[in-house]
Formats: sequence, structure tokens, C-alpha cells
Amino acid sequence: MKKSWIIAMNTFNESLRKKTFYILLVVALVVIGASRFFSFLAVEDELKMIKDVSFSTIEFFGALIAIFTALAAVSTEMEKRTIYTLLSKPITRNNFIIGKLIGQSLIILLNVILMSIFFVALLLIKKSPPDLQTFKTIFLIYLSLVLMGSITLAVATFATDAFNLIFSFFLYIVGHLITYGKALLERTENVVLKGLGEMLYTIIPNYENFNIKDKIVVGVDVTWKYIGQTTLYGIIYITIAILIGIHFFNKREV
Amino acid sequence: MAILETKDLTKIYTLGKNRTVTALNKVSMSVEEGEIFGILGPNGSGKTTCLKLLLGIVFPTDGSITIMGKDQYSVDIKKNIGFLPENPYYYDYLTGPEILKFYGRLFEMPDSLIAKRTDELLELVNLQDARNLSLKHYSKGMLERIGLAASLVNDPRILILDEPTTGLDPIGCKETRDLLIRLNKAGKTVLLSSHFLSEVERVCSRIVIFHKGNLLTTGTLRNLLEEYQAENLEDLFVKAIEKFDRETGSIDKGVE
Amino acid sequence: MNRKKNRIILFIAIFLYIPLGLLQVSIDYLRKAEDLEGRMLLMPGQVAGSLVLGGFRGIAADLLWLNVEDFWHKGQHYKMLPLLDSVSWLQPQYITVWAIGGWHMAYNIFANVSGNAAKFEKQLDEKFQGLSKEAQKKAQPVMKIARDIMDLREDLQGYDAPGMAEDRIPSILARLDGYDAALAKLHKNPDIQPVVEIAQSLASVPREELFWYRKGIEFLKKGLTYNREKYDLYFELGWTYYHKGMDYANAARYLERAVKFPHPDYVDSVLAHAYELNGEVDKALAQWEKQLNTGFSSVAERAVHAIKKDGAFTPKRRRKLGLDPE
Repeated sequence: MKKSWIIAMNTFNESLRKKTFYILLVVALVVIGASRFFSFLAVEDELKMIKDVSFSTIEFFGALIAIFTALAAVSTEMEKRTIYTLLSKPITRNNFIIGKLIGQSLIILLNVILMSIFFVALLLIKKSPPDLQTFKTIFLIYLSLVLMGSITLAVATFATDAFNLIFSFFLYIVGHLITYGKALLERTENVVLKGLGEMLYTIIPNYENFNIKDKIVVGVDVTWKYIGQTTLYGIIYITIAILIGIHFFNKREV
Repeated sequence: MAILETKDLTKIYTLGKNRTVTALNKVSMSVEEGEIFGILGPNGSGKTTCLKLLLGIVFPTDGSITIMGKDQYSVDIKKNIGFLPENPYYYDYLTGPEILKFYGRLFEMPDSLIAKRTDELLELVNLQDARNLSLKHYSKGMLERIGLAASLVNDPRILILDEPTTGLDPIGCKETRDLLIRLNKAGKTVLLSSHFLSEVERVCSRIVIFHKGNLLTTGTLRNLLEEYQAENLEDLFVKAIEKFDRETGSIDKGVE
Repeated sequence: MNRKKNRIILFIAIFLYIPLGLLQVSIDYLRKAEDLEGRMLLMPGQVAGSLVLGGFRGIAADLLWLNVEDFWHKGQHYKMLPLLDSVSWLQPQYITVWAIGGWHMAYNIFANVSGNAAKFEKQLDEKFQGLSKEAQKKAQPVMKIARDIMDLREDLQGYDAPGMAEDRIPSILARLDGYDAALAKLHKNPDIQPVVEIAQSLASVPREELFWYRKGIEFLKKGLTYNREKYDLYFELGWTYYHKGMDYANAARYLERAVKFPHPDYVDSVLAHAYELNGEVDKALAQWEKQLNTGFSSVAERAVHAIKKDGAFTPKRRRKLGLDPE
């Protein structure tokens, strides 16, 4: 675990040095800040707008960072051949994958924290301090981003960057729609389709589980029970993704 | 006693539908502890593949590898190995001391020891003045030297070097050669893969010649020169390859 | 690499889908129970559509809401309606949409429609004056119907008017049907057709006014089905019945429910007024007495004193309640 942590810190530091991280962060902060300029709306509408835009920005830009960091994790090491020196050291391939996961989770966390600080500052300026529900929402967004990154990392162990990029964004959209897809398939009489639907519903990551932002902004309270179960879901799925990544990376010729 | 042994080591790459390339074909060799062992061969002969197999970076299709009496997949074994890849490339945002610290920590070395080794190694490879420079500002020669330093950070028993003098000027080449001899005298076993026959001639106690994934011959330079009735290593090299081509009539190309 | 160990890793990964699937069942149940399920709406606009697809329903709703505000400021009230439906569909717990939507319908569009009445009245007068003496004689019934319609309109609004209480609506509609039938008959006379047509337009005004008032009420009631645990829409309904419809019975009914949830003090005051105007003076008094220690204590004191002394909050209200002979 210690070696994974060393690799993680290296991944984290490397990501910090990349311009992409800062560009995405600045753009995200500008978008969050722009939500402030809806003062022509009534106060409660402006607050809703700030929250909607901020949560969505944290999620969207967080997703970009998660996916691009994960893409670079394996492919950059292979392209630059730093992986040869790394694998010649007394580390296992498991250390490498787990280290990359921890490293990218840290960079996503930093990104989410920075955007959240800006968001909270805006709320305080509007004299509407964030409540616990706000932080629950941010936590679940973070967890969904780590999940996204772990899936991209797993796919990076056996697929090309181009495929992985398209696949990751495709999965992001499908992961939000899967609940509706299942509801539609439930109406069919066809047993095979129903079964296929159930299977896909389990296999495809259900990002809607983590999506409570639309409800929080209109005052719906989310219970700790829900947070707990969704967190467990995230942890199990991340574990699945990483195990699959380890499996394929163990077989990969570098 | 053999510190490193391979038996019928084979590596076949599958390139597509029914297309395979034999990078290494039943290579059996042994390296004695404390010797400088040279691995020679033309481009695509399988030298780098052999080194990657020894390090567990790629996996053999058949055959076995034993290092210090153990299976080469053991993580503990790697604590005793230092590796310098061909055209080394490192995390360019790091400085020399930082890259040594990173690798040193992977060897579970305490930070105090890493700091001590860093000072020693930077002096050894003549990079003290570039201490605070990040690797992206290093020249090719400087990268080779920091790579050498990185391969020595754990004070390994076995040093595996793939083309260590690439990009070095003649003085740099000499310094590297002298260093290898010094390290060998200190008890390290060195595996040296190189194109530069003169270099191999000067430092290696035994050599092996690869061609198209096959081991042509192995032994001390003197014995091989006698066996092939060659005047020098270059002549030996050419004769060994010609002999193989004649005997086999093979047109398969090995892969580096 | 140990191939056996590597296969075991893959089997564990696949096996973990089983607890994952079971957990998802539990999460689905919780999402229904805690009302966390989102809605999908295929929007005509590509931006809104992709936003919804990407799980950004909130922003999609916000953008549509901005359009609602835009149409309102431009006076394009009817264009607001489909957007109100869309926004409330996307985020049914967004109370503002229901409250403001209901207000737009019951008040603003109502007022828009009402503005047409004066216009038609003027047109009717001008047209009538332009008729020959003989035609004017034939047009007298039309003018009478027009006056009756204006009187009916006055009954719909105003402090002392009977208002648009739900129990009155069938009779109002019946009267309007009667006017429509009469005007249809009069329209057969070619000499007075132009006048009849304007009168028919005038007749549509109270019908439309009633329509928008009732539509606003319906919209608020629909919003209430998604937001039963908050005072807001109970109050909006109560207020609309009270202030716009003069339907004090329904006003009191909804305001009684509003005060069961955390609410600002003014809700209690409006309930007290609604009780009084509904003839439930004892309840009104009790309601005012509850407010003696609140932010409305000065009003409450006056109200309690007035009701105990004179039987009503104000002399005007005494007359409205019929406590003073004419």
C-alpha cells in the first residue's frame, strides 16, 4: 500500500504540473462566478441558479478532469516509457494501478474542493450559507467522479485513448439514462428484452444514484441512509473497475 | 555461481491474424555473479526483449528465468536490480534529486539514506551543478547520466543497462566505461546491451551474440575469437551471423 | 504473472456485480421513497435536451425559467404557458414555478383579458352610434345584453362583489351561455350583425377571465400534489381564492392547511380575515387571539377589540357581512 501511495503522489504532482488542470479549473470558476450575474431574478431564483450552475459545473468539469487524468495515467507512462523504469522497481502491477487510482482521486478531490470553496463563497455573499444537504451533494458528485475516473483507468489498461475517450463519455450519458431505459423496458412483454434490460441495468454504472443536485436545490432532504447506500455502491463499483484494470494490466505487454 | 539463468526462453508476439513474430527463440544463457556480461546483436535481434523479459516487463511465451535462485516475478528480487533503459525518459517535472527520491522510496529506502545516496550519485555522474534543474531541461547525455544514477540508487547487486552510452560524447563514454569497471570491482554483476563493439570489447568478461531472436554463441571473448578464428570482436560478430544465416537459411526477423 | 491469481481477480470483479445489483434494488426503493427520482423530458431545444440527458435538469429548468421571465416582460403571456409546464415537469418541487405560474394565470393573464372589455365596449358604442335609427331600435336587445355582461363582470371582481366562488361558477357560466344563445339569435338580423359581433367578443371576456382564474387555481393545485409538506402552495391557493376569487370558504380551507406547517405570521392573519368574510366570526376571533403575541400583535389587538365590540373587523366589513341594514 505504501508503494501505491508513492505512485499516487507522483501522479498527483504530475497532474498538478499540467496546464490542462489549471485551464479547466479557471474556466469552471468563471462559469460558477457567472451565475452570480442573474441578480435581475428574484433572490430565491438567483440562489437556485447559483446552486444549479455550481453543482453542474463541479460535476461537468470534474468529469473532464477525471477522464483526462485517467486517460493519461497509463498511456502517458507507456508513450514516454517511464513505465519501463517503474516496472523494473520492486512494485507489483497492482501497486501501479491502485497508485494511479489514488493519485487521480486526489487530483479530482483538489479540483472539487477548489470549485466548492468558490461556490460556498458565492452563497455566503448572498447571505445564504450552505447547509448539510449542499455538502452531501458535493460528496456524491465527488464519488461519481472517482467512479468515472476508475472506469476510464480500467479501460485504459487494454484500449486505445480514442476508444476510451468516446466510451467514457458515452457511458456518462448512458449512466444517467439507464434508469429511464429500465422503466421503458419494464413495460415490454418480451422476456428476453426485459432480462437484457435488467442485466444492463446492473452492469452499466448508474450515475443517477449520485445525482441529487436537482432535488437539493428545491429543498428535498436526502437521508444519511441514502448517502450510505450510494457510497457503498460507489465503493463496490470502483473496486470492480480496479480489479478489471488490474486483471488486464497484469496481462499487458508494455 | 550463476546469478541469472534463462532456460529455453522464448517470446513470440502475435501481430494480427495468424501473424506472429519470434522475438526470442529458446535462449538459454547464464550470467555468473561478479562478471560484466555483454549482450550483442544487430537491430531487431532480441536484445531489448531479452532484458525486458528478465525484468518482468514482458512475459515469456515459454521457458524460464531464474534470478538469484528465484522466480523473476518475485518483487523482492527487483530490490537487487538496477535498470537503465535505452533512451531513458523520466517524469520531466521532477529534478534529479526528486527522481532519485521517488525511485528510492519505491525501494523502501529511508529518506536519510536516499539523501546520502543522492549526493554520492550526483557526484558520480557529474550532475551536482544541475541539482535544481528539472529533467525537461536536461540534454540527452544528462538524461543518460541521471538514468544511470537512478539505476544505482538502491545499490543493486545486478545492473542491467540497455545502450548506456547512447547520446554520450567520447569523454562521457569513457567515464561510463570506467564507472562500470569500478562498479564491477565493487562486486556488482553487470549486464550490458550495446551496439558499440569497442565498448563491449573493453569491459565485458563474457558476451553473448543474438541474431534474429536466436542465441548464436556465448563465452569469453578470447575463446570465441579462437572458435570463430576472428581477429577482433567485429570480425567475430560478422562471422557468427554469417554462420547462422548459412546454417539456417532463416528469413525471420527478430524484434527489439 | 500468476495466471491463476489473475483469473481469480477477474472472477471476484464479476462476482461483485451480485451485491451491486442487490444494492441497486435497495437504492431504487430509497429513491422512490425519498422522492429523488428525476424526470426526463425530451425537449425540442437541443441545448435543453442534452442538458437533461447529461443529468443537468436543474440548469435546463433554469434556462426555461429565464425564458418565462423574458416572455412575461415582453407581454407575451401565452408563450409562458408551455414553458411553465416544462419547468414544473422537470422540477416539480420547485415551488416558485407553481406560485408564479399560478399568479401569472389568475392575475396577469386575467388582467390582460380584462383590458379587452373596455376596448369592446367603446367599439360597441361607436358601432351603435353609426347605425340608422331603425337599426338602433333593433339593436337595443344587444345593448342590453352588453350592459348585463358588464354588470356580470363587475360581480366577478371587487371587494364587495360576489366574486368567483366555486359554487357561483355554474350559474355564471349558465348566464354566459344564455347571452351567447341570445346573441346568436340576434346575429341572424343582417342590419345589426356588426354590433352583435362586437357584443359576442365582449361576451367572451368574462368567460376568458373565469377560465384564467380557474386555470391558475388548477395549476396551484397540481403543484400542491408534489409539495404537500410545505405551507407555500396552500397559502398561494388560499390567497388566490381569497383575494382574486372572493371564495372565502375555499380560502379558509386551504389557509387552515397552510398554518399546519412552518409559516410566516402573515398567513395566520389572512386566515383570520378569510374566516371572518366566510361568516365564521368566532373562528376569526380565536385566530386573532392566537396572534396577540406575534409580529401581528397590534393588528390582532385591533381586530379582537373590533370584533368583540362591533362584530366585524371594520365598518366596511360589517356591511359586507350584512350586519348593518342598508
